[in-house]
Amino acid sequence: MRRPYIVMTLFVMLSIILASCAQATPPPAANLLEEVKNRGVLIVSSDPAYPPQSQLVENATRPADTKCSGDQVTGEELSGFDIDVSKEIAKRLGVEVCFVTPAWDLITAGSWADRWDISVGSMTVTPERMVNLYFSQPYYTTPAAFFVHADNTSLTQPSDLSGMKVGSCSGCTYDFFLAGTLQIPGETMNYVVQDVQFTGYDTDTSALQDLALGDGVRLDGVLTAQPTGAGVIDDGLPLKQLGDPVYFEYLSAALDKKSIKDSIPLAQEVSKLLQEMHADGTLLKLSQQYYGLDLTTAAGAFDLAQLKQW
Amino acid sequence: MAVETMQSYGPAGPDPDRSMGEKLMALEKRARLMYTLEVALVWVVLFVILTLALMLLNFDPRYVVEHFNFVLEGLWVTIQLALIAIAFASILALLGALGRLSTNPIAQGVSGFYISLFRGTPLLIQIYLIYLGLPQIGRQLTIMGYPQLGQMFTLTAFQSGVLALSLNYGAYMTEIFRAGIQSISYGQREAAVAIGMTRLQTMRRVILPQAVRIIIPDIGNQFIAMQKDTAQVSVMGIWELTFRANRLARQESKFIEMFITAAILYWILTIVSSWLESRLERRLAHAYER
Amino acid sequence: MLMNDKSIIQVEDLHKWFGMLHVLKGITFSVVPREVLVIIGRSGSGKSTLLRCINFLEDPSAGMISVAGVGVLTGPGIKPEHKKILALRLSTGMVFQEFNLFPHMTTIDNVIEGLVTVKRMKKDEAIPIGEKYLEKVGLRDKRDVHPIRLSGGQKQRVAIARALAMEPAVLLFDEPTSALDPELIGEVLDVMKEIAYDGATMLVVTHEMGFAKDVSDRIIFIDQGLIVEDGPPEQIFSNPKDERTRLFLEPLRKVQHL
Repeated sequence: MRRPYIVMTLFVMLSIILASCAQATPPPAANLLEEVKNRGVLIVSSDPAYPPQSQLVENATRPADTKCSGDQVTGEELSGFDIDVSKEIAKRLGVEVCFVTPAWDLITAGSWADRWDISVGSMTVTPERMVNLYFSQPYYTTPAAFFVHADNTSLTQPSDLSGMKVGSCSGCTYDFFLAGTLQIPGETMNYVVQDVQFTGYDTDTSALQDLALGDGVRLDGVLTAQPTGAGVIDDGLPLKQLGDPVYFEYLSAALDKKSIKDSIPLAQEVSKLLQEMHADGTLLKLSQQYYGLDLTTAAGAFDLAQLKQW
Repeated sequence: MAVETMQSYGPAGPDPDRSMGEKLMALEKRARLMYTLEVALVWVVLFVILTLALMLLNFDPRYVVEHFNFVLEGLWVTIQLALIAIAFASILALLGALGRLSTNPIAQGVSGFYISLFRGTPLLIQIYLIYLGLPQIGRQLTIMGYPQLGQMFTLTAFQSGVLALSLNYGAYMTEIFRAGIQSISYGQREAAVAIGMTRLQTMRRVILPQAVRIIIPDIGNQFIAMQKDTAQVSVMGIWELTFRANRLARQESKFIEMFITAAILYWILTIVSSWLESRLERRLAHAYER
Repeated sequence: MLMNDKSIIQVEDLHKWFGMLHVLKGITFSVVPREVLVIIGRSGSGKSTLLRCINFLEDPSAGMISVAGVGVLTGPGIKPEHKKILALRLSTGMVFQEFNLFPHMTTIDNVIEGLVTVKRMKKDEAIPIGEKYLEKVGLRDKRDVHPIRLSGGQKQRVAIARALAMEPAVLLFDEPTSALDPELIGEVLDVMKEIAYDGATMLVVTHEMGFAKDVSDRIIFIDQGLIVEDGPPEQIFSNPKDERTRLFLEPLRKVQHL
């Protein structure tokens, strides 16, 4: 006798909750660019797992007047190339920058549920990612290069690694390059290394760690970003670069296609700002500061229109 | 020994039986002490071996010292996460257990479904779904015209972590609570009912206080397991212990240093937790000691 | 058995099935205030089940039970109101074979638990009442002790105090001495005797024929789920009308010196 009443009570309660919420006026519809400007804050995702693009700052103090919420990180608490680019974008938008630090997988998957506005995370433009994300004008390029153990003498050029044990991050562009399936809009691929025994890692730095254990112990080579490899060699890992870079990646800021508020205007605005930063030398200066190289000029010449995003 | 035993029966002492008892007690105490010392010695030896092994790892202690405070701050986040989540998990487990033991088909169905779902899927996927999936439901509700309700589905990373851990551990702990409640003899329930208590009063006043004592060690065990599973919430960018250690490790490729630092901090945390748990257990056992 | 307005317990045509097993096959009797009724019978005759049906520790399959003016009717398809059952339980106090004291509470807390939780009495009002009943069973000095430190006889006396503290209209005793060592039975029976002389209405299921003979006003003998004989102790023990009663009592006579 009582059971139908319980079910009915639940339904009635639920509908009352729904009804009471429905009476509230919906917020005015606006696009993401307007939202950012109204808010005065640009929320950028950047995992500080990738120095020198993004890393933690220890003993940083949060500015007292920050508009960042409790689970966001202020610009003071992170540093790196991506972080400086983010700050510059926010500055030119006239807003404060705040960071969130989710894992890389969550960023590339899209569907950010409006938790952050944009990723400035050195993300390579790929056709797969373009399904879920909008890409801005690239702000720099990354040469992809093979690294081997410093003790190795038998390998002289990348093609020598064919059929050997090669590691990198799984699901990233290096993985796809080794599988021979990488497509980079605006670039013709030359797959010089064939049929490797691939080992996937959570990040390519882990692969470099394994390579450093000894020549051929776990890996014969690692495919990674030239700056990443150079960085760990600087830190003392016994590795060396093998030959010239095998391809270049265009690295862009990315925005969620599935955000509630239209993200295209923000993507276009950020692209415009990045082109200005290419033009006035801001990005080149940052590139030389962090990498000692010009990684940006090619990115400035990239024709974003060929991606046909909007 | 035999001679001594004979002597203790002699007329010399005021109460020969008493001195015999004291002697036996002293021997027993000595044996217990020796045993404890031997166990401690094994620990020390194993610890030394572990330390030696670690020293072979090309370990840079200076890096640990320099960055220790920053990693340590993550420990507080870990403790907060685990404490809040174990509290919610216990509440969920209690409700789940009551549902499992209920004769009401709705309660039985809901709790059975909950346990099956959250024990049957990985914690990491639950974290992803709560962090990124829930807001999408909220978004649909917003589109349907319930923006305030929709907002409630977007939890912060910390809240998402607490929710995922609570739901996941609550499902596991349901069985612990159920077994604890069932271990209380039926006579206890009858005695309570016979003096006029309702089912709820019986549960609250008679069954649960006894069941809690029985399941405290299991809850403690789950708490310790959970402390380490908090590491999984770092995927949402919560700056807890593992996140900090991992990101610092990447800065200068000091993985061994940072991972060992994190491991030691987790280890200390679990040692302190189990010590607190055993104290609590002893306090609750008070009524059961003759 | 005639129903009359004076009776404090009325049981009418009570049936109990355990699955396919018909344990009580239509029991009818009544008890008047201040009466001490002892229920005897072989193991498995249904006497404990009868007692447990009176306060609904077992749900009767059919029949009517009324205690102190609260009547509950049950039968196939009739689900008695839970509120009525709670009211009925307030009119009955029960003492179990296995004592069933609450091990996590002190003696005094055991005794006042019903007063505080069920009767919503303030703790400092309940404590004097609890102490009074502990005094009654001679265990006032054990008020702050946990049950684990009590002997079996002491535990049962606390359990009696717990039942008394609720000041029920009727006391039900379900084999109160069966779990006790022989040397501890006496102290419990003495307490029960005293309560009986104080004028309590008692229903006692027991194998202690000495107690039945000396203390009871009336004895019911149950066999195979039916009341076989109902009468004053003198009649039951010296001149049973039914052959089955005589056969049940004959071997006990020798052991228990009746």
